[in-house]
Amino acid sequence: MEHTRRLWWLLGTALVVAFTILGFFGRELYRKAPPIPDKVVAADGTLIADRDSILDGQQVWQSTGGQQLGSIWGHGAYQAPDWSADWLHREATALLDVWAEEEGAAGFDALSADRQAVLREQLRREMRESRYDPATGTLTLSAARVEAVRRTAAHFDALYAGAPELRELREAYAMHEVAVPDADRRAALTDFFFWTAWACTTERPGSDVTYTNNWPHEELVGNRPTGANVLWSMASVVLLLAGIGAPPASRAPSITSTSLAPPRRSSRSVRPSAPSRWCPWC
Amino acid sequence: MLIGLEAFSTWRMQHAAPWMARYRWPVVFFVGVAFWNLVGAGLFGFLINPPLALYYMQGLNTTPVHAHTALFGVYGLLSLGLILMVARMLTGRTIWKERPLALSFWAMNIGLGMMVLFSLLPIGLAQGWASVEHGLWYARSADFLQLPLLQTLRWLRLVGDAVFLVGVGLFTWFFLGLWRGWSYETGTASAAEQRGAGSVLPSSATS
Repeated sequence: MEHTRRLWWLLGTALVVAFTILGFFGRELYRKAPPIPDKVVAADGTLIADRDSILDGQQVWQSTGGQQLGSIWGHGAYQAPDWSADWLHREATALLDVWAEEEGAAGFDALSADRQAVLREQLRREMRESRYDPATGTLTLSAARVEAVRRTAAHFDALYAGAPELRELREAYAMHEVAVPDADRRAALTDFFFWTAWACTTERPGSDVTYTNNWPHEELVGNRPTGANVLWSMASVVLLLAGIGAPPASRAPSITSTSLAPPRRSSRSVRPSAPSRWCPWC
Repeated sequence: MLIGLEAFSTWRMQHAAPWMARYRWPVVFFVGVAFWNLVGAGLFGFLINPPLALYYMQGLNTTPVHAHTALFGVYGLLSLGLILMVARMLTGRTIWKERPLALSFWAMNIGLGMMVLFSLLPIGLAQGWASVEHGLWYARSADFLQLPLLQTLRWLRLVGDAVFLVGVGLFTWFFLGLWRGWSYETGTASAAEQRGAGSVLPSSATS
């Protein structure tokens, strides 16, 4: 009786501790979710997107099958791309090209290696620094970034509108020919994709880690695993080894004591292959 | 693992009592559960779940490797074993023709293993490499996934799936036979006699 009471306490404590941790971080998730800007504007004040168009875009994305076609933030189907990671990479390379063209080059690839290195560093800072003002709910983008977003949006617009030159790509993605026929809805869809990529690359206020904890891996914008990520991974391996080692270790003393003590005849010891043999606490 | 050893020792005990032999196949399915619990849920689960692995592998084919082997390997076989257990108790002292059941068990397990080893796992690992080396966008891009090698690996899934489906077919056929009568051994007089007895529960359960 004493014995089972101890087990109940153990179970109760484990459940309380586990659900407290789970509940705490569940709350933090909602508290620290990436903000949806009320307005996304260019430096000259032109409206690029707003809260409604981003949320409408989410519905358009759902209307194409949502997570059945590609994924957002890694969640969804595996055939088409992860739209957030795909957008992020296209926007980053487009921005490099825009800057290179401003310098008179044909594109980023035409620049010297030294100049490329400078632009890559410029890109990393441009993409990671938050230009979202929580007081006004406004996200302001530089002129070059607006151009990069426009070019990226043009690709997705063509993809979803059934442009003939992207037929092969749609085949690889297992997409309908004209997945979203309406141009306004396609525009909203690109606003949504832009916002999901923005959350992947923008650092949280007062932190050097993005809203998605530097996910996805994208060297262009400096997205790589955080220190906490690496250390917790090591910890998980060590804890797993501890968990594997614990049951035999906790059985060890009983093995030695039974071998040293004279055999006692009890109903317990003659039971063949008792299930409790594998239970570390019994 | 420990549960698996427990199931295995139970399985060995089938020779201890004659009535245990009739429960051989339900128990074998439970041993299958223990195997996939270790491999599908344990190993493939740990492959993708530490934070660092998840960072690179989220949304790659390593996820269905774990998902299929854990969901069918553990819960699928577990429910089939339970169904067999119930069927065994409902069909009394009859003797089953166990050959289709044996083939079905091995076809499903080997088919699942082939599906994972020939197709999903190699694709997932190749994608994992691409993700670490170039970024997630590349691991999921058409440029990478339409490479001839990866196309071939994707189609290789058909082989394992076909073997698996043979297992599903045999299991269904065996079960239809329990209902229509062709899954019972009728050759021996004793078997027919036992069937004539019409007992619903195994005698050991009532004695």
